[in-house]
Amino acid sequence: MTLIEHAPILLIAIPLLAAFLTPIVGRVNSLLRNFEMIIALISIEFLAILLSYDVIRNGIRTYTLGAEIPGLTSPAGFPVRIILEVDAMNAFISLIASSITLIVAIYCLNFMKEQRILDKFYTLLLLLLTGMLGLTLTGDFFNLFVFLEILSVSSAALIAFYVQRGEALESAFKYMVISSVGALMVLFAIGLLYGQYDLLNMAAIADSIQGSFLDKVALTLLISAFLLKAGSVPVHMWKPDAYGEAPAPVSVLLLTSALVSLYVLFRIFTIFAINPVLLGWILAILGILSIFLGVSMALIQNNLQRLIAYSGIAEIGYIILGVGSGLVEFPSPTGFGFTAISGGLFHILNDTLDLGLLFLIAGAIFYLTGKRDLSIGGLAHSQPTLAVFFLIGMGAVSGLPPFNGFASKLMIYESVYYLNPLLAIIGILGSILMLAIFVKVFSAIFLGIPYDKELRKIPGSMLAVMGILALSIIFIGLFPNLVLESIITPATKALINPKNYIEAIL
Amino acid sequence: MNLILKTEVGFWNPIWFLIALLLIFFISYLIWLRGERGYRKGVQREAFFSGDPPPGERIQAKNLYWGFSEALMLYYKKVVGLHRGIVNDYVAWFIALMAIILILIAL
Amino acid sequence: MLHNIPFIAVIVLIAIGLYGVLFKRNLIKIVMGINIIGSGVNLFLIELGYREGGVAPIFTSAPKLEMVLPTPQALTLTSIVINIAVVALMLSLVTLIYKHYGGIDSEKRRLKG
Repeated sequence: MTLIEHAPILLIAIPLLAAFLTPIVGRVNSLLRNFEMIIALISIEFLAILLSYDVIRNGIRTYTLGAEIPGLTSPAGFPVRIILEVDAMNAFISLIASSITLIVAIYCLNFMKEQRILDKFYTLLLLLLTGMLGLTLTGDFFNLFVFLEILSVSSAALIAFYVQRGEALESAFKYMVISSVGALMVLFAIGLLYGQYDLLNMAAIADSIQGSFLDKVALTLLISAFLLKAGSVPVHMWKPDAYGEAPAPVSVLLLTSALVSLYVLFRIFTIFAINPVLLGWILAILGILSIFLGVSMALIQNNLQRLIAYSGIAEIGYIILGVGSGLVEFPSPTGFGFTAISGGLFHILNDTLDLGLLFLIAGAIFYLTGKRDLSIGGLAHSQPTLAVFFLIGMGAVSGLPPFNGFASKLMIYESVYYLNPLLAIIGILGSILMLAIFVKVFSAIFLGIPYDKELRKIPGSMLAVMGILALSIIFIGLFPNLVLESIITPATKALINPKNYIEAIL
Repeated sequence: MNLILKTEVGFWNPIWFLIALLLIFFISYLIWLRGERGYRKGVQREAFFSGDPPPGERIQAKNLYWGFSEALMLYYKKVVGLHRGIVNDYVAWFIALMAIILILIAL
Repeated sequence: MLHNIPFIAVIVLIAIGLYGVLFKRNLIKIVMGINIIGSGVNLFLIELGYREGGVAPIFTSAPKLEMVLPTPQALTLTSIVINIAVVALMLSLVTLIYKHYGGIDSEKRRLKG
């Protein structure tokens, strides 16, 4: 099987190639361009599924650029080449990233009417996917920085996609400032690590790390920069701006990229393992703060996308809370620690599905009415399907029982309760408030006197895509154990056993 | 195939939950069947404001949690004040987060 | 002490850049601050690879085998290019903001709360 051997690099190369092919093909024919883009995304999705299946069954897969085996290294014996390393955890994240991008691309086929604009849109979208997949699959620190910058630049361009809107420009500028400062801090941290160990490979650095003061500084810089990209509490403020003013499908991609940065954060955390108890507590407390602040700020918002963005901050808080409190028992999390981490990772999947569905619904509402605020009312009379989708998304995001959000939140609450009951109680209160917020949104948008203006029809592709998301929410809600055992548990095991990750390189 | 999600002390089976939910719906349906028969169709859409016709301006759903945010006025004033939306502040918070984590880890 | 001067310069550059980003209200000055931080980090990378008395790491007809490390130079080159792209994107955003609102003051903002 040569395809599976080259799958990690193909996952990065195909979107990069397709990104720059898109505007050229778009010059010829816009239908051909759509075809090319969808083919590229489907092949990426196929490769991601193949890779995950292989990695879960056969263990870690490494890919060395410019050499046949990772062992083919410099005379001194340490890896100098760029190495891509895939284990169950990366594969899970790359699966999420590629699926969500495919869904968003199909949604945008009819969401944006101007076909000429879509050339640029799809170029940026594929570049964003390149950034996400590269950030996920790479095992090299400098490569990580490069993909982080690709991610930042393409998402900033996507946020400011409609340049005639001043708010979009403003939020894109803010996003760009904050993320380039974060990325430069990452580069500085990489420099600190390189200066001490003369290595750039993550696994090799993790093997020889000493825990000196400079290591701690580097770890701090890395962790806070990736917390910034994920949007945890003290550094969450770019998030409502960016998510609220970007076109709605772009918000879904931004959310996915935030989850990818969370993955990088957890990976760095576990393979370095400097002072894990304290860092786990810091993560848990930041998670609680995110939950509390996210829901309480969402309650007073009047812009729909901004409101969903604030609840997205709260959802990120749940992930950080679960994984952080599991990592408190780091060297060998068993029992509750293991449940907490797998709950947190399960919530990554659920979070993309729930909030992605809600953002896509917000986009559909914008498509219908041209409004972003809550003063619409009575849309359920003419759009019952949309209302049902919204109810499903609302139930899932606030953790109501038959939906997927409940399963992961149950795992998080229960195991966090054994760490500290107060944290679990605040988490549950946050969920209740989340339901209250979305009940308000539902009644503001869908209930009441029928919307008076004549409405367009929502295109079938948009509805189909939202339907797929809603169906997968229900499916995961009904059979949580299926997903948990097949994907999440291997991912958790891969995350908490950094030894395997390190030994695969050396 | 094991469909029950086992956590450390409990378990969660959505199928049983759905069956229980259906049962509850059935019981409530039975109760609903015993209800008033002579209700009029067509009045459900009129807004109901403690028996009076609604006042001129429509109270919208976005005002729904007015009491909640009014009761937490002090908190909200503080928190909204922190979200000033100035880009310099964002970077300042980032630096502050780095400083806090560094102090906690390195000392 | 003399060895540390480049590292002190790195710290000073990053501090100047952060000062610009934190306290300047003019958006272009913020972008300049980010560029200065970037220069500081680049200087740091170059400094890491320096070996005393080393020559440029080009093997063909090298006068001696004592060379500075090639990896940080490759990293710096990449990072400079990335920095240029980022700064160009930000400056174009500033231009558009100026066209749209007629001002580039960071405290005059529309998104808050």
